[in-house]
Amino acid sequence: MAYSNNVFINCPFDQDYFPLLRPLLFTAIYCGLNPKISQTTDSDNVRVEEIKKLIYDSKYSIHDLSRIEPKSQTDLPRFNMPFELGIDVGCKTFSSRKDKRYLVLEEKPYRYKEVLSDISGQDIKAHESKPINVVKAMRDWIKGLKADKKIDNYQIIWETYNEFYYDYETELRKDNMNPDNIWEIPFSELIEIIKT
Amino acid sequence: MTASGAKLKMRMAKAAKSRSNRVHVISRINGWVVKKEGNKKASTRVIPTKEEAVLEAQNMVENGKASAVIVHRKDGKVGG
Repeated sequence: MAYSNNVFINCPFDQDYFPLLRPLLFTAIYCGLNPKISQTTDSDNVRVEEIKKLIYDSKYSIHDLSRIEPKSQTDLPRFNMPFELGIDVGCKTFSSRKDKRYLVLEEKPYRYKEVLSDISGQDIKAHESKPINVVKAMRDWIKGLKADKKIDNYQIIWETYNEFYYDYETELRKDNMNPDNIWEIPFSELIEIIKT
Repeated sequence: MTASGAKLKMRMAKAAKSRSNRVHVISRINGWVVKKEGNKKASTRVIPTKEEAVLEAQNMVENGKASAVIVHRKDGKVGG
């Protein structure tokens, strides 16, 4: 799919975030966008090159900064998400991709002002770690960018997602797979399944 | 896509097109709704509590308007 429908997803790809990632991917696809995510497991150099390409090839981006804090006192802060947001801002600023648009998601309203005040003035929405809020934030942002496109309200999308997820859980369990396990099926397959 | 992924995709497509008579109890920001599977919009007004919504869904089954109740959690998953 072309640049104009691609949406780069910058978020943690871990078990804790999976309940938010699923509706995020679902809403993007429901609203006609094509999610692009990095699944590279090679060297760090290859990974950053892939991320730069995905960002350059995506008109839209979602940057979720809600999980940048250390998970425990012995963990370190997670810089990947703000780093990739920085690459995106740089891409828009210094390349020909001046029409790029990005949404920054946060857990709590205005926390970004304490940790990343440079992004003030951008599209920033708080989801409070609630999947329904992710759907609403995504849908309303996309509708704002594509005002002339008919897009169902967030309630319809959320309810359709619930139905989808019931089928998804049921079918995975038939194959003795755990739908809660983020690595049970590749993201590329999850995206293809949502598209059905 | 792997062969198992392709099969799963086919089964999901079939499930999405099937017209069961189930109803789903689904959260909203301000409460809960009951939605008949396949319908675009919820079948009920917003109901304040999950328990009341489940009762309403069960009434639909008892009255022959639905075949089964699927209760979702606030994260969209089923059960709990």
